[in-house]
Amino acid sequence: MNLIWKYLRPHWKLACLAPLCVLLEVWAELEQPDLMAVIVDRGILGGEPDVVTPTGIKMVVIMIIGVVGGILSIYAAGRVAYRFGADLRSDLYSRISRFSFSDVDRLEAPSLITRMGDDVNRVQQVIQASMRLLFRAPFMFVGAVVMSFMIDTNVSVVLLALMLCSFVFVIRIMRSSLPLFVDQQRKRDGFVSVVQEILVGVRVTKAYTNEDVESRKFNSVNANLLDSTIKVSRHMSFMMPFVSFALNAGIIAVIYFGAGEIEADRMKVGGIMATINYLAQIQMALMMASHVILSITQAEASVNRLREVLDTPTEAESDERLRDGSTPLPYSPGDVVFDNVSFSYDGNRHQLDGVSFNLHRGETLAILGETGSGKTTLVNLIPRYYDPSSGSISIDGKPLTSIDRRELQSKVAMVMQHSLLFSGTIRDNMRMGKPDATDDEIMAACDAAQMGDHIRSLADGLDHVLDQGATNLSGGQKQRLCIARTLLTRPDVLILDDSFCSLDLLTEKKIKMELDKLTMTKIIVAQRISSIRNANQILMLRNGQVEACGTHDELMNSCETYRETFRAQTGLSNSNSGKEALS
Amino acid sequence: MRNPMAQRPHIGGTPEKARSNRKTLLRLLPYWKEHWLLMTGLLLCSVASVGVTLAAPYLIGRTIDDCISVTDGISIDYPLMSMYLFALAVIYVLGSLASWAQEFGMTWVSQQIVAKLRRQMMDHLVNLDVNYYDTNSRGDILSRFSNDAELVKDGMGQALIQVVTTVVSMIGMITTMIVLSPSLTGLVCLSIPLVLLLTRIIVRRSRRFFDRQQVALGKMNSVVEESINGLRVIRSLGREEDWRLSFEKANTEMRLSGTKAQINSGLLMPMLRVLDNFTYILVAVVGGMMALQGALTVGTIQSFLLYTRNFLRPVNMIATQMNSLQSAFAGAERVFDMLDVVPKIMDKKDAVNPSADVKGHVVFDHVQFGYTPEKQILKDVSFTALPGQVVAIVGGTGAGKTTLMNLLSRFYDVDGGRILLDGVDVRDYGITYLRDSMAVVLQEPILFTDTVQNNICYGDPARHSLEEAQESARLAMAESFIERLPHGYETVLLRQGENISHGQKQLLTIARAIHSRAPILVLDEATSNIDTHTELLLQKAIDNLTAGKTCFMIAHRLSTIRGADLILVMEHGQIVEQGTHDELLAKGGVYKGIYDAQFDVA
Repeated sequence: MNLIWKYLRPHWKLACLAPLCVLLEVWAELEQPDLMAVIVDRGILGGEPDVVTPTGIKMVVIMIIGVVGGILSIYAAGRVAYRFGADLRSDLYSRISRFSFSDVDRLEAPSLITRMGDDVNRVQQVIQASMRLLFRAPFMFVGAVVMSFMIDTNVSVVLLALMLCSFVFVIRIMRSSLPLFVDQQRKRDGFVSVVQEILVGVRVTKAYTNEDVESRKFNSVNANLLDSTIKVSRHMSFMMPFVSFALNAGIIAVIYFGAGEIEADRMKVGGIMATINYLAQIQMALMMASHVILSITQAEASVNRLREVLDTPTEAESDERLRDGSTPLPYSPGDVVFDNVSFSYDGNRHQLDGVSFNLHRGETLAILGETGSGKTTLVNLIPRYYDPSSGSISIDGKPLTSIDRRELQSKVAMVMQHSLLFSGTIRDNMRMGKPDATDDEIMAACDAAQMGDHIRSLADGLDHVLDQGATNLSGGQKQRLCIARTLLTRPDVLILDDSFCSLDLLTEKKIKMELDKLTMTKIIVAQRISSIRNANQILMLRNGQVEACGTHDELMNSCETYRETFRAQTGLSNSNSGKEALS
Repeated sequence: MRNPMAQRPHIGGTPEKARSNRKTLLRLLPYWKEHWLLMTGLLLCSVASVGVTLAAPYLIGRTIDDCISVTDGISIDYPLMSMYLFALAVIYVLGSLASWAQEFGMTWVSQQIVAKLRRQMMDHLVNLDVNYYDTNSRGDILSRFSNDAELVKDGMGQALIQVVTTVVSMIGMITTMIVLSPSLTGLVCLSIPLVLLLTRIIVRRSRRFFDRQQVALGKMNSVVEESINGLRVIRSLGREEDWRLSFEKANTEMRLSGTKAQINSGLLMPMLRVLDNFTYILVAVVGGMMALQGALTVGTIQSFLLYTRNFLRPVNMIATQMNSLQSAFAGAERVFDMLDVVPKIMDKKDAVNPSADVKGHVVFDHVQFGYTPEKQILKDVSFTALPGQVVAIVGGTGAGKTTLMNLLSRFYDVDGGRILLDGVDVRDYGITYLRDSMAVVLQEPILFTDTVQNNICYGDPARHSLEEAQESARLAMAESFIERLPHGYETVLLRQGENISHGQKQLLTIARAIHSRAPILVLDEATSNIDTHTELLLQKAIDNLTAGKTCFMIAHRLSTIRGADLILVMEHGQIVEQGTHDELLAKGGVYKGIYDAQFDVA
């Protein structure tokens, strides 16, 4: 609720206008049956024909007032709801884009995208609907009851009792339907994820001719969904017939008791007609309100999911806390030092355990190790995508936590394992590395990444448009573009996290030769020893710990695992290097 | 009586139109026919509930006229009134029952129909060619299952019955009203064209804004999706501000067009209410005057007023419900389009299904192939793999290595030449027999949301005991990591196996391949993401496994293929060199170049 107030408050004037206009609308609607009664009772039955036309004109005027109220309230509600949505989305986006990666991991990217989309939409729609309908029901209820009491007390008491009865009934049905709706949503999610999985795994399914296995899997979620949907509709199907029956019972009661009142001369025929009309209006308002209430309860889950995002601190906020309020130091290039660094994603299992090394400016560090040995984790700590659980990392003798994070991240560039490009032209993508890059600069970087020839072979060159996810490029081409993009940023520290895995050996070698020409500090995560033989230091990681560290020759002499790896990769035995064996 | 929220006319963007409504309707008919008995009952129910909406106002009018006499002092005929009211109560009860039966019954039928449609879609889909999956995006296929099917459901259920009952009740109402008073009926009918015109104008006006909002929404969604998924890259390149600005632009655009669409479409209800009330007042005033002249009774005015309330609302409902029907037809058409796709790769009538396993003698005989006619991927590929041989395929990206394997397992059929397995063209085998003879490990390790055990046994679901799964895991060297998982073989892999590492996933896909015991093994770059330590183990596993089997391996690392019996070097869809490692090295050609690069000897 706090969240909703917070975002409604800036638009409070418009937000108040909506219910006020609804009040006007309700008043106009309630006046009509009363005036109708005047026409019937005084005009027709009372023998005063002169009242008919003026009363008719009065009705038209009141109606127009009501319609103006209605239009204004729709206008106000629509405007407020859309402003609310836009403000909320804007806040969410700017927060999410400043979240730490551990928070992004925790909340999961697809879920964040859904929150920005569906969840905000749901809340926005509910706000729009409830600004009108939620106010309409009580206004209408109170107004109609007052009006009918003014016509006749006894009939109104019966009426009120009937209304309360159906009100209680509607609320009960609504409340008991909630778990059914939740269940239906869950079944629907399950259905979608099974279809998705079947689509993703279709090659495997076909290769093992398990089509019937997948069909069975699908049929069971399909049947579950059907089941749950039918349960919901069975439950809800009682509501409308019951409510309309209650309304009709009300009509019968009004006529029956009304007849008595007419006989006793406490009421007139027109009064009966007016009361019947009030009845119908109350019922309509009640139904609409109950649907809004249902959607409010359903939207509660969305509000909670949004609140979780808004309550997560951004990186800058947590940095502030880390530095105890002192101003961040400027970044300057220098040696990268790891001092007894440990890291754990979940607090239980250590991905890194007591890692120390000292990398001088301009040197190349290579990191080798098995899957899960902590290579990617280690490099992610350098641009502070994550902070170590214990130990410290420093550049130029300054601890990373004291350096301005944005400056650090703009100077420490990383090419990730999975290539990610954006929809747009190749030039747009390259300019993400350097916004003011000229075509010559871009082509130079692409040449270094061995992508220049391919771009030149394209009819539209740098204007070539990439789809979302760059599905129109091969894995190797994407990887090369990512490397080129990072080279454009001219970083002080270049991190390549297994960035050659989709490249063939010749291309990889050419890129390596280009990289050797550059003087920046380089950290290369690799699988193949051949690609990192010349590194100043080679770090062997095993289960998050440093197993050995040294140059190729040192490790060949001192480290059994390294020797074994080298042998396995080259198929050469009993030799210090591949070169000798080949010559 | 229906859900009042549904009764509010919903205006959206321009509805998509089906190419042929008639054809689609004809194809949908059999689905209804299955429930014809129920459907007939439902139709009767809807006629009954329409009857109630007609009879009740009439009866109320009569009650007021016949039982309450005000001419000479007020007197009420209680016995007659009780009779009338009792009749009214009976009619109402029947009406409520009928409308309940009709509402629930219709929803039930439409849900059954859609569930059946979905079942048919999936049964058909899993048997479609791989080509279908390659040429249609997952999102598109998925939306046929969820969105299009939902559209059909809404159209078939709510919209259809609403249109039918509305038409029936309008005809009934007009008839009754004409009988009661032709002149007042004329007055009420005057507003029909106005309602239609107004609805048309407003719907058309707001549709423009809805379409614009849809475009803005799409733009915003793609900005959000790309930037959140690519947050790491954006941050490492320091481009957050640019993205935030483009988000804000899309967000504002969306707010503006959305507000306009809402406000414009929101006009419809109050405007209709104007007409509604105006007619109501007109009836009251004109009716009142007529009553004064004695041409009409008060009860008739009351009946008319109730009819007027019930009469005008449905007119605009039809317009909006027609949109819903329109979308349902378009959705149904997309569903049928998918059901109409005929798989090209099917068993021949006289398909060979030998009882014994294949030996694994594979011959590619002048094979030509392209995914599209314009672009040839394989140009005249020929080679022979003898039973038990290990064939390694090397070459750059796009050389056609994966295509080779797609053809072998008949994911695609050759355009020219032929592929022989044990001397028989692969197209002459039964597909199940052919594919069961092969175990495939794909480039991307794909696992299912299921237990580790079931994922391994997927290779051959007939053998699914724990012991058998353990045996396959042991051979794939996956045993030790599986046992360290929280629930061992019972551990459920989450979405695409996100709770285990990439290398571990690959080990599981290899275990799955081993489990299938197929005589032919296809490994597509399977080893390229496994670390050296695991690869050492894996190498041993593959050595054991390949004994007696024909094995095709696509790999970048030469160390893993040094022991191959035959190495195919591919370039631009052709085999440029083939032979053993030593032969090819001695030749000093393309292979030697790649080999040298591997060992940094230039």
